[in-house]
Amino acid sequence: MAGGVFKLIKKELIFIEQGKTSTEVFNSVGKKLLKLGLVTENFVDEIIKRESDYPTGIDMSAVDEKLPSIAIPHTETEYCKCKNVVIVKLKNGVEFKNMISPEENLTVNMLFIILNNDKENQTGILADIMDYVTTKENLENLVKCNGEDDIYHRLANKNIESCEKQCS
Amino acid sequence: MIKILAACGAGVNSSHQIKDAIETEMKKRGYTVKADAVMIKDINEDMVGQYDIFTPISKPKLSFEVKIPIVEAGPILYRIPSMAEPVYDEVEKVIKKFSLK
Repeated sequence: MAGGVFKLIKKELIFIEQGKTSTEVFNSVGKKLLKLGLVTENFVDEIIKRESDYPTGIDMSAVDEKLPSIAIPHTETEYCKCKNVVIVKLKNGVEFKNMISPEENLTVNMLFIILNNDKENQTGILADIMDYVTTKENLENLVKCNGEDDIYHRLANKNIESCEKQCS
Repeated sequence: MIKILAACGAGVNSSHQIKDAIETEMKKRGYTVKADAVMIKDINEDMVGQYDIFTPISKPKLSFEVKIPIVEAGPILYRIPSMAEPVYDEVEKVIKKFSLK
């Protein structure tokens, strides 16, 4: 994964969630982020509202049928207290609406939640995430990972062999 | 100078990505284009009136009618040339149809 974005990913910010709806997942992850002091009190409400007004689902089947779809939830800088990308693996496919066609439902398996308290430098984060997920096999291999550690190593491209053994 | 208004609902400056991509590609195709990136919530009728083409990520529900041509630019976000091409082609089609300069 591109160095710039990878620096924003932390092992403690990789979650595996059981929630069946986006609201459940936001509530669960949001609580954890609040506890870590990384977001404000209204972060959860705001991210739920933002997702409903301006959905962030990305239909990866448009790139390759085999790819699972993802979403890039985020909200305004004022609700974030850090600059990080939170990775969430969804055990159950969760419904998100398509950013490009908001009436369309997508079943999403992976979230890249963008936390950014810096009003200025957002552009790079999204672009780097898109470059990563659209590069051959990155996403396919990522969703096969089972644990937080696996996911972290896969993103770091470290120890590819041991990750493959664990993931397959 | 062809003036294009790029817009997103997001907070990740996807509109900036659209702006940069369209400016670069249209310049390559020989057109003088200037694009501005805004968030949908900041758009009003007066603002739209100042531009020639509106390129939102997806067609937004606005409280007024948009009277300039709209080209949905979402596919540019994938950063894959084959997905962006149709958007650029559509923008070029609009430029030619309305003889924009």
